[in-house]
Amino acid sequence: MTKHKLLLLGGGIWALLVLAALWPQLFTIHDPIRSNPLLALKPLGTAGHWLGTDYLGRDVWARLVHGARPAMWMGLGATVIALTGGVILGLIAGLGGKRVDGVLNGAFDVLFAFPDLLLALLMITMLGAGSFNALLAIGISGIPTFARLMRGEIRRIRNSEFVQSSTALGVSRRASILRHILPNAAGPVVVLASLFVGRAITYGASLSFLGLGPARPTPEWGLMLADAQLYLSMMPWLAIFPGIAITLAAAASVILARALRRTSE
Amino acid sequence: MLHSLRESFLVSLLFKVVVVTWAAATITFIVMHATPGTYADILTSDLSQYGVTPERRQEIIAAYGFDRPVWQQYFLYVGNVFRGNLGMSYAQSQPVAQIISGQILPTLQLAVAAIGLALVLSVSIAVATVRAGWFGRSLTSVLEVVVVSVPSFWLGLVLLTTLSFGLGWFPASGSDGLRALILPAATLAIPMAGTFVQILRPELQSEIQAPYFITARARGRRFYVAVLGHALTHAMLPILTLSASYFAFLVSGAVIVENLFGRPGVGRILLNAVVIKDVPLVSGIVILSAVAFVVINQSVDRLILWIDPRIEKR
Repeated sequence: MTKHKLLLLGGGIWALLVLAALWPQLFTIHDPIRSNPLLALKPLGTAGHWLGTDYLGRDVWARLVHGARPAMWMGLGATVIALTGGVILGLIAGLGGKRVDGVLNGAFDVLFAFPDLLLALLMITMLGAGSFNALLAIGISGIPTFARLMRGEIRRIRNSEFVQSSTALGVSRRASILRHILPNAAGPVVVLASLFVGRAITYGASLSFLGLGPARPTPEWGLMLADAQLYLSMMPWLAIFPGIAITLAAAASVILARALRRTSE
Repeated sequence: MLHSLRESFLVSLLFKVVVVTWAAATITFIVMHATPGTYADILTSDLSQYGVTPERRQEIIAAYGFDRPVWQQYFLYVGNVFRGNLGMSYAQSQPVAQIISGQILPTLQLAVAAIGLALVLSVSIAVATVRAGWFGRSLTSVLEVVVVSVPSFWLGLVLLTTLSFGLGWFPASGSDGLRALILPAATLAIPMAGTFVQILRPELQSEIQAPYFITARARGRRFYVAVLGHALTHAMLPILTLSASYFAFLVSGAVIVENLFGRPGVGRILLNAVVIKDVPLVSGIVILSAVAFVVINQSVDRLILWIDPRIEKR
């Protein structure tokens, strides 16, 4: 696929998700939280509830639409934390002296030995379950990835010919950082950020599936999947739709990352 | 020469293990002391809701030296970790090391089965599509997106729904026998295989244009015989290099899959420990997996050098 088609596809899915997160009423009139026992477990194709209802009689489509908001929060919030922390640490390591770089890079290497979900679980043990804590845990456990990338990029650009020659021509250190190093390091970092949004959404849904994220009755895709487990044999679609939603959101961020990567190349 | 190489490898491995163990112990020590509702509660409140008896509480206080200054506790803790003493679980009256070693076998079985299945799947797909131009390329680019996007717990649910509830081929939960292992392993293997295919296919494609391959063909080797016999060995190397990332994937995957399929194992006790804030047990698992990561990665690096000594020169 061409760059523009990729941008259009990824961006289109994202636009829909953002729209659903900001104004869910555009897509559904049903309340995603209020239960109605009389309507419980209606099958697909029920008039007024085309995707059926869950065990508390809540419209599945409404819950899917309203689930976009927590997913966006998780994806963007965790990415902002990982990006900010990672870029700052990466800058310090990349621009600092040999000793600073040695210590920080050693720390990144050591942190790299911890699977990021384990780091997130360790943090949730400390903070307790909940949607904000899950966001914090996923964001912080992503910091080493961004920091390593940022540091590597800065080192690479600093040693590149054009920066070396600009220094030789008398460009000040500050100007060279602002005008050459940062803009050139930004590309790969933006691509990683776009990828990370999708990963954070998937991780966030995994954590709430495991019962460590937001509490019921929040309309959240991972929680919907956890609830659907009991009805797998009778009503498998209850488990299919939230999964499709997560996959779409994550795929959009991967597709966008590919388009951005090609643009920055 | 070879002898000294092996020695220096062991020394550097030991050094890395020590550094990672120290770092892991330090991080978990900080977590242990920053966790509200454990450290202070053990001293003051009633933990019987978690099955902690007053005698057990005294034991914990004594074992961790909670009545001593923090820096002393830190050195006590790190020293204990280095001696293989990961402490006592708050909730279960057992040493953490004992709990983990009692649960490690099913998790290892799951991991080995998942890697094996992923290799079989990816090698078959890559070999079968190595000559398919357009189809192969679109397959890899679709896989790239799907693999990263499909959450593994959902994949597990879909497999359960179709193969277990729908067709009744596999049991939905439990851990007895090979049949109960297939679905959990497939849940982890499919995303991994997707990653492998993306690497294997282009590697194979460049290998079948290498002089040695063309020679083998010219001497009358059948194409697929030559691929399996010659090209595959070379193409597998980059997959070995990636072992770091799939180790992380398997560890987090075990947490999800074991809980989804009701399998026993380290992932299951880990989630349980996170929920009830059994910090020593969580810490123990974190420390062990970090050490395992370092050992596996260093050994794989060494293995690759042994298989293909040219790499060192690059």
